[in-house]
Amino acid sequence: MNGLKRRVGVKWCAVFICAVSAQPAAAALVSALVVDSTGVPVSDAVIALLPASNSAGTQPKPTVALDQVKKQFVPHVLAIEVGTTLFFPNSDNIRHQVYSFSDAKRFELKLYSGKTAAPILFDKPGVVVMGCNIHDWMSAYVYVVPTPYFAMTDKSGHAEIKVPMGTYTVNTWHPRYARGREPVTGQISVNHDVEPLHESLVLAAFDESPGIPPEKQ
Amino acid sequence: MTRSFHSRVLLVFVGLIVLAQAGTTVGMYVAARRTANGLADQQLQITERLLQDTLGARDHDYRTSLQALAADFAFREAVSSRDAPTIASALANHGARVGADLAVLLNNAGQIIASTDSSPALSNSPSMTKSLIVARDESLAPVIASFNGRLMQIVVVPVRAPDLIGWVGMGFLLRDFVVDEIKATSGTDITFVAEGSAGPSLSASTIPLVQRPALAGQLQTLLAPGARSGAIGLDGEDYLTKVVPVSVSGGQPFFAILQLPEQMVSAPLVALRHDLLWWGGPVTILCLLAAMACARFLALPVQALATAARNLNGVKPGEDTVKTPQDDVSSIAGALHTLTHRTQYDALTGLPNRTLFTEWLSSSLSRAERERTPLAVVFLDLEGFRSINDGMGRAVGDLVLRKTAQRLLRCLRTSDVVARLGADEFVLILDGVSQVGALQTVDRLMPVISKPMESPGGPIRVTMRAGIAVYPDHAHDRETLLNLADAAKHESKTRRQATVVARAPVPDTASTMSLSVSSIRAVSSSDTWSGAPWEGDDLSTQPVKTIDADTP
Repeated sequence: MNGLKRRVGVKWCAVFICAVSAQPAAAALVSALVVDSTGVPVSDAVIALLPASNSAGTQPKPTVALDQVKKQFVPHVLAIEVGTTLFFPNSDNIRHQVYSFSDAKRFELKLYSGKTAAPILFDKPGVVVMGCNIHDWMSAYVYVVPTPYFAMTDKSGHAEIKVPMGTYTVNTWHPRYARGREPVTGQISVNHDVEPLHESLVLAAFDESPGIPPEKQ
Repeated sequence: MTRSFHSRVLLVFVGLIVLAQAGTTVGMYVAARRTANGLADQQLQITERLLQDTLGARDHDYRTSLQALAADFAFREAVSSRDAPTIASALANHGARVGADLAVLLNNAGQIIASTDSSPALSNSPSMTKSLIVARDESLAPVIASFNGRLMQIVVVPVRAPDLIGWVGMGFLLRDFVVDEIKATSGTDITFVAEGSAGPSLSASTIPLVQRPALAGQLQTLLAPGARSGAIGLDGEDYLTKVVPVSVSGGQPFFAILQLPEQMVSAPLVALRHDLLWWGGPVTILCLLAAMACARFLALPVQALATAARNLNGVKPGEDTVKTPQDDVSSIAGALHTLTHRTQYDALTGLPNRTLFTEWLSSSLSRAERERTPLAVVFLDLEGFRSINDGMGRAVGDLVLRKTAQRLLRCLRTSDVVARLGADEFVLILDGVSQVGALQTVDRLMPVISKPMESPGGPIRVTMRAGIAVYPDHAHDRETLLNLADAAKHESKTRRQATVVARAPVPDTASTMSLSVSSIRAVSSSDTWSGAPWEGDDLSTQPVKTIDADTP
């Protein structure tokens, strides 16, 4: 029931991007707004700016936590740069068995509790869908991007990314949008000569809703 | 052919009993037949519902089992491996756990990516793939698909890890045991019909194997639109048949033929027919006996009455029935008629008697009054009749009277009336005839009556005397008219005249008087009668009084 409602709720998504201010140090703040076809802001959408020239930083990546609280993954959606290591603390007083069958990262953490699970390195870009083998409704989405320039929209659908001047491919992804497929892409150029940029990208239809926890679980 | 009252009553009773009995029997039989047909229809409907329920329950059970299977971690792992042989193997393994006859994996786009059936028939079967899609999208109704000429119940459930990674579908053949179970409950035979590319064919059925070819031969007729129910015969046994659509999923109609042996419907009717005969026969006989008794009881007084009536007609008791076979009621009517005739007619001459004459005169007078027409009353008697009667015997007297009556009748118009008042006294009513006409009539009669009559004692000659009174000339009422005519007749004797016309009653006014006189004069001026000349002057005052004195 709940799932059905959500499924019909969001069909189209548009991304509005503008380079707000060109800063002296050859960097700019790119601001994005993601809304659905009815104009309602979409939160938890990932915006990633892929530089045209592969200037992926080689600096060490931080280790990020994906917690499990009250039989839910927290956060539900997470964006990380390729090479990031995730660890999965279990804040519940019961055990969980985390798994992924996604091509970007297949893994399985046998039943465990607390912080005993080994950290996992996400070394390939793509979407990784995770579940708990003993709690079918639990799900988490990790979008692994090959760029340090990415952000997730807040509840008002906004995201801001600080990028150096240059030309970027904009990837926009949301768990409810085209799972298993490539993210929607667009091109923007960021430089201080031009007017503040306004770009609008219309994304294709969302398909099925993410796994919705059964009611009252 | 005449029938006695008894046999008529009996006939009516028997007719009524037979009618009532036949009506009741037919009515009961028709009602029973309708009830039986209604019950049969109801049973077929129940079976139809039972069938739907069974398929629905199977769908629910399979769905539950499949959902558990699809959530199996190893199964999901196998599915996510994307290795078709591995997936097919897992499908076979897990399908066997729930007794599936077919198991397939569909990707999110609905394409078959692995199957336990490696034959190309599956992926080439558009109806099957369509059914799988329908089963995937419509989880509310059971889905039946035709595959390799057999019917299969299809259930499709999603595989999630935890997001949707595919759909697993399983097919379960509809085997005979499915319909056998329904038949065990409903007593109705069920046959599934699979619509394949080669036309409809029988699938699961409760019909014995030997009868199936016969049923298959009638499939086309049964499935023809608008012919979805009726009776068909299979190997000499008749079945009430109803064809119901069970599912239209997958674009292929799927029918079930429900059959009830005709015998189940007709057996109670046969029993009823036996009962009706068994009870109806004796009851009818009892009723007939009662009717006979009733008829006899009712007829007894009528028969007694009829016997009395026959006796009244002069038939001696005991000898009548053979000679004149007449029914009871007719004989009573005949007796009444005879009695009436006797009271109104003179037995000797057959002429109306005084009673009837008086009635007729009254009605003739009122008609004459209404129509303003004259009416003459003529009194006649035979001169010297008494001497004939006394001298030659009563038989001759009677002969004379009869002969006279015949002669009178012969001479008169049919509208005239002649009656015998007694002895040798006759009277005529001449409708619409005035005084002149009456005199002419009498003149015509006289020579006829006075003709000689043959009698055993030699020819006899009688003469007649007449007295005439005319309405409205002499009187207006019956009694006066009669008295005047009678008096005139008597006067003819004293005056030795053949015919005398009455005179007007007591004249209170000059006008009546003058009328009276003029009428007498009118008569006297006529030369048509023989007799002494009219001496009107002394009569004009005296004899009227005499006549009036005679009037009661």
